[in-house]
Amino acid sequence: MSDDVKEVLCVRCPKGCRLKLLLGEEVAVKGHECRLGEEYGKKEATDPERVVPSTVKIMDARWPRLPVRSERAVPLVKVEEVIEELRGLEVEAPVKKGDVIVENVAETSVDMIAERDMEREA
Amino acid sequence: MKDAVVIGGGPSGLAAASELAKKQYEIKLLERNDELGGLLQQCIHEGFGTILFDESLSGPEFADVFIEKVDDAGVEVELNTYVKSVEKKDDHFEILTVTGEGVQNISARSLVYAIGCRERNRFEIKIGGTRPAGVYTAGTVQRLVNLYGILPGKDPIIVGGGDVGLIVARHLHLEGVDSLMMVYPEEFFSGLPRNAQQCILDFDIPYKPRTTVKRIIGEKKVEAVELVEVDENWAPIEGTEETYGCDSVILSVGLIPYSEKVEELGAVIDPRTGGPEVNEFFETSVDGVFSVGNLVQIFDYVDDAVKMSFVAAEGVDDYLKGAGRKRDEPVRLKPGKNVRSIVPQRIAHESEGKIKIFFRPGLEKENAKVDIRSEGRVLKSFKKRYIRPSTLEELEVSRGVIGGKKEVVVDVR
Repeated sequence: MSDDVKEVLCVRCPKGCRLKLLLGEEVAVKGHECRLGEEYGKKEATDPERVVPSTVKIMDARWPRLPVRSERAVPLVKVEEVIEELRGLEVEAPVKKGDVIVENVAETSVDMIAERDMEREA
Repeated sequence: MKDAVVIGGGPSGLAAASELAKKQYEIKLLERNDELGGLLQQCIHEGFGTILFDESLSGPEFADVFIEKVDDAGVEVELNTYVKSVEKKDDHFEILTVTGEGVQNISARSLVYAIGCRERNRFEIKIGGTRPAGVYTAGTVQRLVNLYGILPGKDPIIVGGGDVGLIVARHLHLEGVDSLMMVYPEEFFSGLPRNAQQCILDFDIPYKPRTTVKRIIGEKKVEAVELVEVDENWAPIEGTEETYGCDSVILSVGLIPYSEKVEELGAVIDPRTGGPEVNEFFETSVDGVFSVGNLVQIFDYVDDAVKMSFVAAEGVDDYLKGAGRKRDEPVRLKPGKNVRSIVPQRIAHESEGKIKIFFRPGLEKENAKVDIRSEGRVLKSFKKRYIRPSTLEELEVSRGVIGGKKEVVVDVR
């Protein structure tokens, strides 16, 4: 299969059109049935981005894991790298919602933040 | 005597409790677990709140908004509290709870049940074979992975292409299982397109449509499953069986409202939703007993569930004030052609305001027309761009449209 065709599912309405993106200097979108699909396809072809959710180990808290996410979306190609950087990381309670857990994760200039408070427990 | 006791501290219960406390009622919220937030605490992905706040929050973040509201509004919260039984008296309810400190009696003028749903298990979808360790429901896996950091196995198979299964697939992939496979009986993922794309397709996780697990193989632990292809009616096609090696089976095969408790109180259950029948203010068939959230029907979006809790709070308010005139005979709402279920099941009040009607379509269709009709006459029509059974649909109707009718039917064509 040539790598200048990419298939994605449009997420703009419940129909979920299966889009074919023909990559090149000018991106062509096929399989969409409305303007939203074309818009979405172009964005997915050039610059797909995702918010990354995960957890890190936390000590002396109610749960063994603290949920964290990227504060903003990061490039899709960086997602696995972001997760890799969280592996083995350990934080200590207390943590407040919104606390930065990793700055500039995987050189994306996006921080990983805590999704919730986690109080210190013996 | 409390004005209302809310049972269940998930998003719907939190929303109902805070809304009522804001109206200066004395409210007690009972939660079985040791923290508030319900299911949302394990839903660490984002996408919650887009309807209510125009912002994409994670589950814990969304829950926190309402935990704070409950705090600010002065709701009395009791954690680690299990409701053993409820008895209806002449003008109030007697609640018997069990807590770490012992047994306790609470009196309340009204009740709001917000006890959610449970996951279907392997026996409900007739998966045969042995009963080894390593068979989980998707929600349990989500809890294990996101709260405890425990993976269910090294090479799990996920059965069912709904949203919980999709989201769990991404967690398992990112948190490092060796291999992963998803099978489902539909032609394509039944979850939201967003989840299919961002959880499975983004990571090239392998999947097999029109396939299900016929039986589980393994003595002490799961060793393999026997897969079988199914036709469009989900009937297994003989001769297509194949063995797939895996060490765990994760079932994402539907949610069922946890309606046994309200049924014990005498509430009529709708076999189509699996939850109690409710009127437009989410009051069950037992006066003064309301029910909200996934107990009523399985919502796709927590935002919608919470919005309906606000509506229920208005209903409780009316009930406590003795306000709100009820009709002598409620208008019955019935699912018609190509409609699987409908909520509310009856319109009981004579008031102004518009009514929200939710329905689950029975088919997949582009440019569908939805008719609200009574005695053969179409009262109002709506157009829907694209409907499918896995997506709950919403209609807003003014009361004038259906007022005075005995029975109103919703059709899709």
